[in-house]
Parts: sequence; structure tokens; C-alpha cells
Amino acid sequence: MDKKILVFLIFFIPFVAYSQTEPADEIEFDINTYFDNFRLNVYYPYLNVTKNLGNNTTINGSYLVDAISSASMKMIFRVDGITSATNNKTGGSDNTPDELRHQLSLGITKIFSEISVSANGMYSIEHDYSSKTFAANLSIPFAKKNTILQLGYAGNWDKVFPQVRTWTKDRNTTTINLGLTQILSKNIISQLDFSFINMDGYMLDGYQVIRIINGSSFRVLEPVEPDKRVRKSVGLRTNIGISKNSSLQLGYRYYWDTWDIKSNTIDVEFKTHLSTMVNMTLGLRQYFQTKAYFFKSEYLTPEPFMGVDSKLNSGYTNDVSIGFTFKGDKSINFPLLSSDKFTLITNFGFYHRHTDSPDWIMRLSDLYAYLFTLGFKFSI
Amino acid sequence: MIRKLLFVLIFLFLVSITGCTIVQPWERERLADPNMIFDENPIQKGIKEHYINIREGSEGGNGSQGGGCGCG
Repeated sequence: MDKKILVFLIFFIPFVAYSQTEPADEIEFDINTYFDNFRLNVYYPYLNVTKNLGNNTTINGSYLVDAISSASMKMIFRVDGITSATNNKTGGSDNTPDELRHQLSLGITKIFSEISVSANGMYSIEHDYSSKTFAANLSIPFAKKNTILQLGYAGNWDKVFPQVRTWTKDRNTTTINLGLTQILSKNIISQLDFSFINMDGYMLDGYQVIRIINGSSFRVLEPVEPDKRVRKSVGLRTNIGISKNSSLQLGYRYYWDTWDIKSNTIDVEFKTHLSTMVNMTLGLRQYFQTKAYFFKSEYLTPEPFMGVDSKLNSGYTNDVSIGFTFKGDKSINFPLLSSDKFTLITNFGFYHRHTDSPDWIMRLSDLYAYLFTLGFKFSI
Repeated sequence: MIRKLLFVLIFLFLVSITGCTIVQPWERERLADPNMIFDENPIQKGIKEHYINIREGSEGGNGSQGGGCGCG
């Protein structure tokens, strides 16, 4: 059955579609940063160019760099004989990145009558990991565009080759999305979304270790996780126009998988036009998760499956964010903002994750992260 | 319990769809506001999902860009 769906999607839906309107011609450049109390710093500049070719066809290309500096990795690898074989000679507490990831993606969108279809290809490479992605989607409007049906497919073909190991292992992921967007009234719109994700292969990163403690001695082993995982989720969100200038988006998602992780996510987003040029977005997200069936914070004897990754642990997260966009206007006497083709993007986010037992590497139960974005869009 | 609640929500959503009236294109001024579009900036959404997916055990079900006036 899955094969039939895949064949249909690959041969009959060769593009990805997000909307019936053509994307605008524009350049977007963002600098995003992430800092947390696990001493992980990430800087990721992102460039995206969208160009309309006419004839209802639009292409876009993007380039992203992740520059990761992780003091925690360096600290642990120094004291751990098994994992200290990393080639990184710099990084950690200095200002040199430990790792760079480059990501390039290309996409095309075409509108046939009222049906929008697109395709995207992506390639990502870093010193110990590579990933190829093909995504396709179809968007079909019904009932005078009051209802839009979205069908999506994404395939990921990843390779894991940790510096501390001599092997290369594969991980393949297939994602199917079904979405239904419905206008409910003149100021209310809802979206129902179902995702099915099938993962096969090596699920770890090759760097995590488990200590089996036996009295005063201990052994260090690699974690072992099942090589199959089926993940499903259903999300429902509604956007309500609460006044002429403001909207409130309410969302809920339920997730479950074959590793026994279940989660509930609630999110609220308030958007308002503070003026004709300034827009503000406030976001709040709450997430609750149960643990994977094989996860333990401590292992006394080797077991068939052993996992220590904190994202397999039970816990909750809180996420708050505030963002502003400033649209340029000829009346503003300030460089760049004096152009009505220019939009300045800013965002600040705070993320807190609590796990019911301490993290395997930093021995902390609470992760606090700060995220900043500064960018711009320019119409071309 | 949670799964039952979810099915009730989905059922109510589907019922609301079948019962709703058609909103004509000229009545969608409020819906055409960029604030009414789901994931108006998909780049920012993608970046947020990336860091969340690395730190949490769940993925998917976050919807896709669209909405607004119904033509987008």
C-alpha cells in the first residue's frame, strides 16, 4: 500500500505547492543565532532568492550555513577515550566554529489553472553527515477556494559517518503530509494536518556513549536504538481575525510513534499591525512528551536497546517569542528603510526544555536557549 | 483520553466544514491580511522547526503555508 502511494506521488505529483498565488520576486537574507546553557552556540546565515519566470512559473534557491561552536562536545571528548578522536583541534570555548554545515536547495512552483504544484531538492553536507532531500506537494482548491486540499511527499536520504568511527551508515526517511485548509467565515480560517513519517536505518549520531556502572567500575558502550520508527501526528490550527488590525492563531498537535513517544503541543500566536509599517508577532508554545520505551537515565547492565538522548526522555518545553517587521516607506529618512521594497525582520525567542532526568552529557535537567534573528527582504 | 479528545475535535472540525457557508472572494478582505496567513514567512518557520526537531522527540503535523484570502 505504501509503495502504491509513493509511486503515485513520485510520478504524478512532481512538484511542491504551498499556495495558489505565485511567490513574489524577492531576496531574503537572515542572520540567525542560537545560544544555550549547554554552551552550544550556533550562527546560521540564510540567503533565499525567489524569481518569477512568467507563465505561472516561479523558481527559488537558498543557501544556509550552520556554524556550530560547542564547548560541551570538546570538554567531554577530552575526557572520554572513546570519543576523543575527533579531528577538531579548535573550537569549544574559543571563537572558532567546531563544525560547519552547508545547505543548498532549489525549487520550482508552477500553477496550472487553479492547481498549484512545486518541487524542491536539497543537499546538506557537514564533516560527519550528509543529507539529500526531494520534496513534492500538490495544492488543490475547491468550493470557490474556500477549501484547499494539500498533498505532500518528502524523501530524505542521509549518511552518517562520525569522525570517531570507521563506518558509514544510512538513514532513509519518507514523509507523507495531508492537509485541509478551510475558510469558516469572513474572519476565521482553519487548517487540519496529518503527517506520516517512516524512518529506516541508523538513528544515532555516533558520538553518544552509555556508562554501565557496576560498583566502583564502569564500562562505556555505544547506545543501540531500533532501526525502524514510524511517526504520526495530527495538528489543528485556527486563525481568527479578532479586530481590523489583529489576529489570534490557536493550534494543537498530537503526536505518537512506534517508540512509544507521545506528545501534546499547544501554541498561540498573536499578530497585530502597530502601524502601516510595523507589524508585531507574539508567540507562545507549550509541549509535553512521554519517554521512549527503551530510554533510561542509567543502565546497570547492557540491554538490547539503550538510549540516552534527551529528546527521547519525558519532559516539557516552553517557548516564547516576539518579532517585529518594519516595512520601508518613502517617508522614512533612513538608509534602506526609505525604500518601499525593503522589509526589516527581527525576532527574539526564549526556549526552555525540562527533562525528567539530567542530560547524559551536561548532567543538567533544564536547557535554556536564546534565539535572535535579524534579516531583510527586498523585492526585486 | 487525549486521543478521544482529539477525535472529538476533528469531528467538530469536519462538521463545521460541512455546515459553513461559502465566503465569496469579495468578502475576504479580512482574510487577505498577511496576519491571517498560516506561516507567512516559511523561512522563519523552517528555522524554528529545525532547532525544535533536534531537541524534542516529535516531528510533523505542523501544517503548511496557506490560508489568507483563500487564494493563497
